[in-house]
Amino acid sequence: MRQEPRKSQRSRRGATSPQVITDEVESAQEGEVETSEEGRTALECEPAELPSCDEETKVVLLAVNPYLVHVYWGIAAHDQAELGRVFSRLGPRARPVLRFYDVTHVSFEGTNTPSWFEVEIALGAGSWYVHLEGPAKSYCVDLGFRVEGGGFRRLARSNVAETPRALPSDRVEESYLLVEGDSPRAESVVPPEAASEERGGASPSGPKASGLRLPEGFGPQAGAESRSATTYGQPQGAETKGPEPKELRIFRTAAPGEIERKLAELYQPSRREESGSAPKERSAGELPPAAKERADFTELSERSFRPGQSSGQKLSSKGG
Amino acid sequence: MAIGYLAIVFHAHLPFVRHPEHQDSLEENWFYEAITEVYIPLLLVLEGLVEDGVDFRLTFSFTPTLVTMLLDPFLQSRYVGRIERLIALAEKEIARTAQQPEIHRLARLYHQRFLSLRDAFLDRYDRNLPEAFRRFQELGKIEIMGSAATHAYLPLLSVNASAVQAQIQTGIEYGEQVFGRRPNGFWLPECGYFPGVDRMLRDQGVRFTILETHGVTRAEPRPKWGVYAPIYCPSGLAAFGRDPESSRQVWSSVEGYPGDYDYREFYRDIAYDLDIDYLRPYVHQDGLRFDTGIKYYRVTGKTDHKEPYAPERAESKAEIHAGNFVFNRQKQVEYLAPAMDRKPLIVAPYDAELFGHWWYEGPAWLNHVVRKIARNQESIRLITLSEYLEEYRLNQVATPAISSWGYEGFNDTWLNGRNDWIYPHLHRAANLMEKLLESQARPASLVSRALAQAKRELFLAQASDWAFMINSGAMAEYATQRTKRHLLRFYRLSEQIQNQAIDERLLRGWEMQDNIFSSVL
Repeated sequence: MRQEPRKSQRSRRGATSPQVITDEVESAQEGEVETSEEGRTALECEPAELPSCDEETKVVLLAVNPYLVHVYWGIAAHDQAELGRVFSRLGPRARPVLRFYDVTHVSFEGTNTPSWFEVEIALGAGSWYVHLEGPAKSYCVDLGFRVEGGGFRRLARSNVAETPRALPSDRVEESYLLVEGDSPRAESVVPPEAASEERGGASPSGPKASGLRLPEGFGPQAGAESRSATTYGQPQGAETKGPEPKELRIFRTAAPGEIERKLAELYQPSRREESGSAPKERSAGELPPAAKERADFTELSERSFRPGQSSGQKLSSKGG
Repeated sequence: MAIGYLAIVFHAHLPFVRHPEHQDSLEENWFYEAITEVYIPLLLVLEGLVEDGVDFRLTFSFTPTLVTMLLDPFLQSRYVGRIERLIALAEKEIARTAQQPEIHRLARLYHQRFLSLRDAFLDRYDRNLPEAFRRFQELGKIEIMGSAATHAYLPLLSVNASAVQAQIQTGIEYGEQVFGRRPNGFWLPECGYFPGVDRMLRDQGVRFTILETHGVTRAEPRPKWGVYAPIYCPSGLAAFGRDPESSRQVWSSVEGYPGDYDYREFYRDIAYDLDIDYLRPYVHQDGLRFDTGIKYYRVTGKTDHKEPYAPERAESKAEIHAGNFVFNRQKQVEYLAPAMDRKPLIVAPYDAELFGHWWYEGPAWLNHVVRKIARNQESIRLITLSEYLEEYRLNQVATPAISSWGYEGFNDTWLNGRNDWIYPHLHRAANLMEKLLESQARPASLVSRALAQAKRELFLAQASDWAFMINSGAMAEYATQRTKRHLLRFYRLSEQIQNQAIDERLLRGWEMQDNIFSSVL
């Protein structure tokens, strides 16, 4: 965009509606007036600062991006007193730390994690940013202190947070869902078997999907065919829910065939030629159809993707 | 016979900036500007298309904060005052510019335009713009998506599932009430996706959402068709990925259309060029300058020297750009279609406020795009996302990647050293809200009102706009005040509910000021 946010900042800075109406405020209906004394009084008698959030000892983990997480914590008064005693007794031999557990694909019960690392912190800071090397990982954090000699005392354990993926996945197996229904409602949603299996995700076997093939020319009709031909299992919940046409039904469809071979062919790096992105202006025929190149559409989209083209620009200007 | 589809999506959003306690509010002015420059002009484009028998499909999402303001009689009334002042200013400009033929002609055009907008607002739409959009939905020309109650950035609220669920549920219910249909689609604020939100949306009957490109391209497993076909989350929610090329053609500071030298220059508003005494009746009462919407110059070039705006040239350029946009979409689908087992879909979501406000010619461009697609070519057809899902019900299953359409594509904008202080409070308040609701199974009338207001204050505190503004430094003080104000009100109400000592007078004042969603809370 051509707009430079700072220009409008100049014109709007400090412009927070400073003038308070002294007598009355227009009410919801035009022409009608209503005293606003309650509203103004309420605003004026509000304290200026927010209260402390430290009524309980806790630690919360939030992912910022694939390589950065934010951790904040609070320590309740009784824990603070105990900590004061510990630190006065042990001095520098006790170090406050955040202990990060990598719980990716792990059902974490506290001790069964494959790896962890610690980051020393200043307890009084209340929050910390930690750079990580691993995108697409799940972490859980203990707030605590480490005592010289290896002991660790936990004060609180965080939620599990996932860092975003930084690259497309290498898993190329395919499975499909058929979702029908004009007005799906929550109660009629039947989770497909695929859901839990897919989510578990860690299994590299993948190929419940292998050997699947999409029915040719699939569309609504083809989808219907595939439902009868290749769905495994009854449409879940169909017996109890009845076959109303508007009912949402989810089918997991498996198709046989040579898709695996085709996929391997499609995703072979050597075949992934420079497909390029659709240029701004090009003459017809200049870019051969994707079919001829075996273009990887995910890579194609990734390559032309530029993050941050959004309301960011609008509001930064707007707010200025 | 079309070989591919294009879904143009407009996401319309403004934060709740209703300030009855102030006689003149710059923040409210954002809203009035958007009515004048965006919402009515877009409606008029739709009207023209229908009148001319042009078949089209477009998708809109209106956030509940915007809709509640559009329906607010107090703000509607203030808008009428605002447009009347603009008309008076334009009249004055006609006289002032009498000796400058080029500018004078523009002043007359603005005067005529403001008169038309006022008449449309009062007579054609009877002040009710959501109803006008609803009529196009009834005609089958547009699809309206739901969105979160106050445009909360859901990934950073997700440590409290109840907070996310409340944002979704209230947003959908409010949208359903206003637009008469439960939405099939849900616009995730800032396209902020996190694992698990798909299930929450499905639980509310939502069928699809839209993600930033990498939300789909980095899905697990790898989507076969990139962003050119939707994927189903394991929960059954369809996720459409944003096409990066059509986004860039409009948004890019280098390649984007809006920076064309023939288009109107946004920053040369008479508010900053003319003497303040001349402007005083039409700008902020304290003499603060804010955009009037009267702008006489075009971008001209990378120079401070600006040439007068030439509407015909700009209109012509909008048509050329529309042709270019359509041509490129044609080339895209011609490239994609032979390799795919279905018609490729290009999803092009934009902030509605870009069209007409930042990019004055945006509505004209849209008008030409739609007409050219309908009449000048056969490769692509406009479609709504629901229609696409009706045609292609079978889709690949993949779990989308954590993503947003903000800076760098993740959470950086809303979580950094400038605004991270917000989250301990938002999380604590959401916890408190859960406890309050659990403890008040059958609240008495007054407690019930206090609970509803506590929800409103929490919703308003959760608006992602505040963290965004604090991060950008623009209006940071206002955003900080708003965050604190709503949190403090929430805390105060929760104390009163817990202590069963509700100050009805205080409550009434807050109900009057922060009056969102009174019909559903």
